Amino acid sequence: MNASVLKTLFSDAAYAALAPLFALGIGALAVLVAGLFPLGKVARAVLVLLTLLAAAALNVGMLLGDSVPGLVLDGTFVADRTTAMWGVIFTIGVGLAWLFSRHYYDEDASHQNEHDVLMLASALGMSLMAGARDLIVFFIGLELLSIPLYALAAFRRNRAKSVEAGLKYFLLGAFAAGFFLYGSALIYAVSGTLKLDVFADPASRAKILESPMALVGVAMLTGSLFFKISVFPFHLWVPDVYEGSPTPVTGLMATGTKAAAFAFLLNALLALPSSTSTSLAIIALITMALGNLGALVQQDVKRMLAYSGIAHAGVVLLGIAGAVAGDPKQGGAVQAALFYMAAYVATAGGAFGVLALLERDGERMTTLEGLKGLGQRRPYLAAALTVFMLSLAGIPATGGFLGKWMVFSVAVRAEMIPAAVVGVLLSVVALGYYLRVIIAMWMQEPGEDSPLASTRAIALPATLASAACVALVLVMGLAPRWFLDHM
Amino acid sequence: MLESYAPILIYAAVVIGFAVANLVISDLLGRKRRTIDKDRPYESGMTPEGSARVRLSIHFYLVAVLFILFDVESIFLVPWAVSARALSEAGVGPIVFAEISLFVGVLAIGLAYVWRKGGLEWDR
Repeated sequence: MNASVLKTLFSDAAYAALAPLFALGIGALAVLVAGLFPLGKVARAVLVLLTLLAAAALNVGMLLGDSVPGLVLDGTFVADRTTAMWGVIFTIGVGLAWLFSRHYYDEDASHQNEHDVLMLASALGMSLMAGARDLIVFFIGLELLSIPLYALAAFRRNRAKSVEAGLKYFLLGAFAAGFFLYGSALIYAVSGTLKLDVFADPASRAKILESPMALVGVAMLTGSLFFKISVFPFHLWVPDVYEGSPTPVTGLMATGTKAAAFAFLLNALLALPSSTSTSLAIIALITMALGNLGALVQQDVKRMLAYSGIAHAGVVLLGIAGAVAGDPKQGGAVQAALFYMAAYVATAGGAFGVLALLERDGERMTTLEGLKGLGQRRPYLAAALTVFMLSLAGIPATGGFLGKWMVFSVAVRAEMIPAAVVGVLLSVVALGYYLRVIIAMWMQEPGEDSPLASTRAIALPATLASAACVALVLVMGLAPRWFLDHM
Repeated sequence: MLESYAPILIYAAVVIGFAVANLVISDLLGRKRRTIDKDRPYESGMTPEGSARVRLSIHFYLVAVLFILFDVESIFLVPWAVSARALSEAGVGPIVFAEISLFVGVLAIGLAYVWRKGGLEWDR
């Protein structure tokens, strides 16, 4: 590497681009060190909050600023408005999961500090994934996200289900990481570089994609990303892992991991040959069908949301298929996926958060049976959960509706009208199980073994988080201008 | 091109020769007094008998993880040490030094954490 390249590695632009990552990294270390001293719970919580706020503020600054750092670090990392928007989404997702986890571990809070450090580290990994323009940089981000999540999934180590979730997630995640590395190696063997910008130049792109070896490599990369976004046929781990993990962690997995993997998939879009659009659309539709049909028969709401998450990943993948087929609108798929995932983070994050609250207060409240009569017992929580269900179903006036509309329009613009029609019909099927939750809460009398009304007040952090989720979902549905202008 | 691999070949020959020579020489010169213990397969001083599925103390795992942590540290330090001169000639010496110090600093925080949490105590 020559001297001039070395100098650009340490440019001001590079520091500006990495500032949100530095904030998260330094914050995570500070929280870790704070755990060694007899500091109060409040002081440590303030530290976590400051870290997340600093990262969010730096990203918002990039979003509103006149210029962005752009490509830095020898073209391996990009910091533009899209990355900044993803960064904001990630900090919101991690912030929500963190707020909901505040009183979740009350019975055994001995490792709360480590829990927070792991959550901050996973946020760092997500941001690295979203900005990566190089396969190795992405891989570091992926591991920085995944390894904390393996530990977090098994965080209730006294419960067999939690340990099982952690082990399953770890083993399958390790396989997916292996696929990713093998795919990267094959692409490197053909192209001689790991940077994604070789695919930006049409001539070199065509040349690389001619080689069967590179195609196998691209297929392996896509497969490992499909694992992370839980798309058919790599979705089988989702229900078990989501059910067994501590509920706030499930919320983080459902929202943050998925958003980060989609962010990179959109960065790497050019690596996919345009002939794959049909198979991508078919995979997307199968994913939606399997997710929705699986969710229909679930009695446990946590499992139901896991299947619904699979279906939602299918929807976004349909938009990506549209972009691969040649969406005439520049960056339309990126905008649609950003908006969809932003709405999904607020909605699913909130839904899992409310479930976490209920689970803390009673025995197995996450079954449909346990939700019966919740509207009378706890009207505010039930109202929040209703808003989330409506948004997940894609009812107008919620963020979920607009997200779906934007994603399906990408597919329509790319002239994939039959796929879009099937996708919309499958979304109607989804309405069935979302409405079942609402009916159980408001229209059904509590059964004999339903839990009694809890007298515990909802803790302040969780109240704030649920209110923020409801507000975000409604604002994104009714007044989405700000989001759309900044994407 | 192939000649550049000659040192590796010589190195391999020396290594294999050293091991074989040790075995041969000790067989020729050593006294042979066979006992039951000596005829057992060598297993780092542990009795190679019974089920392999014995319970091991979780401490072994912790030690292994800590070893890897500081092992990786050296993997990063060696390339920096090797290229330190070239880096300072390119005018980025101080900043790369700051970066490697940051890296060691992060690991030091990890060590402090392990120490303080009692990870280094064998008997607990």
